[in-house]
Amino acid sequence: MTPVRYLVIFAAFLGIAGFFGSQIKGFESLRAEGRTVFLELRPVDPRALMLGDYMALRYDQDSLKLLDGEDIPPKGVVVFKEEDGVSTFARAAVDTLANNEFKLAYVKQRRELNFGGPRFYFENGTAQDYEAARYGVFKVDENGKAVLVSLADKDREIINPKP
Amino acid sequence: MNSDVASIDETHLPLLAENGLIGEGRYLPALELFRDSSFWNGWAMKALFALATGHILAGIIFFFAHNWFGLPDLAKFGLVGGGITISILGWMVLRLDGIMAQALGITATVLVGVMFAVFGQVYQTPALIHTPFVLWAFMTLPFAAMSRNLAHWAVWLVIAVVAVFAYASTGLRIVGNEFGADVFVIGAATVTLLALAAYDRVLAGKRSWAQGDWFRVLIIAIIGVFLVAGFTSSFWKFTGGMRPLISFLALSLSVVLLGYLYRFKPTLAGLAVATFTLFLIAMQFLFRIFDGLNDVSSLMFVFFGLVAMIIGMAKAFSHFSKISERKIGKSIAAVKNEDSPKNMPSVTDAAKVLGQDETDIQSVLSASVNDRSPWYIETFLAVGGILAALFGCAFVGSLLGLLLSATEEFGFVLLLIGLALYGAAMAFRIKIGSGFTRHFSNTLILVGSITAVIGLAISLKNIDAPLILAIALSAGAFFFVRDRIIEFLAALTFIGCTAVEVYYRMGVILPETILLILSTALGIFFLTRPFGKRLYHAAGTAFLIAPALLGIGLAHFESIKLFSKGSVLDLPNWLPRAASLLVLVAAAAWLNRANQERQGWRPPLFILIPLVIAMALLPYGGASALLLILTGYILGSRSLAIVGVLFQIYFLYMFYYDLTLSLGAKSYLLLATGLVFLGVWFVADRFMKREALS
Repeated sequence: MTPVRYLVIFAAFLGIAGFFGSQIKGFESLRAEGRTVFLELRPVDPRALMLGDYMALRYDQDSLKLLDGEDIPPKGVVVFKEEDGVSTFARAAVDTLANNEFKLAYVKQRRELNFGGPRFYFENGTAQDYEAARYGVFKVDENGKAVLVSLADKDREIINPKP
Repeated sequence: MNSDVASIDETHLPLLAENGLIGEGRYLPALELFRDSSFWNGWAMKALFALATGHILAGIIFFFAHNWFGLPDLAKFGLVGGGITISILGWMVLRLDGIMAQALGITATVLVGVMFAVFGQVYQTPALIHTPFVLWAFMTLPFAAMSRNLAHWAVWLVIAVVAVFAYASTGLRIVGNEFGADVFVIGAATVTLLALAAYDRVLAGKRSWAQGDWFRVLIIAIIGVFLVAGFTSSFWKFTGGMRPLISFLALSLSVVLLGYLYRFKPTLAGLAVATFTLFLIAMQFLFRIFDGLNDVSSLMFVFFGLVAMIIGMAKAFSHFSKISERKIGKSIAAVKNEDSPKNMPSVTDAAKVLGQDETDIQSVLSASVNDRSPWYIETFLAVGGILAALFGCAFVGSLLGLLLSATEEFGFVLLLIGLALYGAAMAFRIKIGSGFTRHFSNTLILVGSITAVIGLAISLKNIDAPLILAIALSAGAFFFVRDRIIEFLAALTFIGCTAVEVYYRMGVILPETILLILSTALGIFFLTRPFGKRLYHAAGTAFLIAPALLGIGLAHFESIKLFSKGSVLDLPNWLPRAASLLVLVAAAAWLNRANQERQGWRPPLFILIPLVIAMALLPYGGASALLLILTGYILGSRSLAIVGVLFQIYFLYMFYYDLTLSLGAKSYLLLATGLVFLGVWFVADRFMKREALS
């Protein structure tokens, strides 16, 4: 039984290493090569177990009202368009995309669409620096997968907390 | 009636005290007779190591939760990943099963969670909130499965329970699948019930590492939590469709759980937890059945229904203790001894230590039957009693409100009726002494007291007089009713009312220190001597845990401040902290020196001093938690020691949300405390091995 115990522990370890390795690689490539988009915020700030302090984010564009009664599946992609540097909802149907349009993946949650950036985790003690946040800055790939990378102020300047 | 009793255990001491057979200064030497030193030495070493590991792991979690922006993302992943790798390698190199190897296995499991936390911080949780917990539980299951260690399994179970509730909440409920969420939670209860059966059949009793009644009770408690949560959620929302089926399934499973435990392995603790689960479910049926009636009659039916259920529960507990004794061969006294492992000295030895005649002791012991239940049973009955009392008060208040709505003397009438009820219930309770109806009269004492206090408050529109009345009524019940539940609640009422006066009315400096000194002194006093031919252990325990409860109260109501930057040197409230350190030192010294027949310090000073210093660094009642652990260790009461450990775990959890220090600073404190504990453990381990050799 003992060799089996070692094998199972080692296999589980390899699985964990493989999972994190592939996930980190994927997200790093998205952060490096994805399209940068700005989504307007309605920020609300508590502390998460093990993850530390965060700002809970709601976006002007995450309301289901935008769909104007259109029924969409619980998960999928919708189309956003970029105007004056800020991205807004264009339509639910994903057909041909104009140059200023891109796909954005969502998960339907009650009366909202979650585009993958419901919280912004920041360093403990830097909350005041983020009070000026007006936009969530995302990196988005061609399939609509998005990752929130930072927050920006009203002039769309990325907020870098003072050391 | 028993014939001659050969040996004596700690549960006989109240009886001997009542008969005046414990003279001045003889209680602690008598208590010493029952303390199993070898058990306590082993327990203390394990507890010390667990505290060390727990604080170090908490320090690591806090460090990464700080989310240092100055540390590159890949460096964070590298640090945690390196930690996991080293823990796994160390676990394997140390051959998986020693105490250090097992600690490394648990460290690996916890660090996988830290990795998910760092992942969530760096990529701003692109996934849903439940995902990390679910993946954490799945990925670390092989570690737990291969660990052959119940502590590792317990850590994994906690992760799994969080994962189940997180998935039900954000994976199902938030996307509108309420029904699926309830089915999932009840499904988790079913799987855990099957796991319990598998554990009983395959492991417990066959593998030495899998022995542990506490672990079995933990599994049963988890099943209970799932069932009550699933039932409550489905029962109060159902209007038709499949929801009643889910409620019925939860109810059926709670009956199956009880039936399984009763039929196959009827331990008293397991059966008590399962019965309490059923009570919590059945109670909700009661609420719903009478929901439609008018206010007064529904409150009356719920009140009497709850009282009937409590009496039924007490009868069931009594039956279970007999079943447990018959099938497993453990009497209540044996179960109590398991809770606080004891030597069983002969009556001759006890007579010598007490300085009494052996025949006097023999006649007291043989004439009396000891029917005191374990503390957890009293706790369940107390919770039920308080619930019933609240409904009783609402019923009395509503009834009088209906009858006397026109009178301006409503408060005064309420006071009179409350006092009358209290007096009658006291007289009834003192006369009855024992039996199941005592729970009814206990509840009426509570109803009468609360009604009278509310009546006085309404009548005088003042807070001081009702608080003084509450203290007076508690004191009456405390001294005249011999009942552990009443004693415990009366002590908490006394200290709670005093706390309100000291905190909010008197305007004194250092109110928390005054309360700490008062409740610690009362706790130590009642735990170490009889008072007027009676032992007040329940009250002593209540007084000793009061500062810890106060710490929790303050954490929730007073000390949660907005974000503030702090450093490791910026320790707030140093004066109360220094005072709590002094109280802890004084109490530990008194506990050690009060028994003049015992030589040396317990634990030895080289362990005690660093322990006290390390614990004093931590806020929120860390010193009170340590005092509970130390008192349990010195007097030989595992219940007190376990309550202390549980409080410390809770304080660590609350420490995370305390905003007076940065997470980074707290991580240094926790790491330093954990390393001090580890150093003390290492030195004590060497010391004990050297003692054993010599």
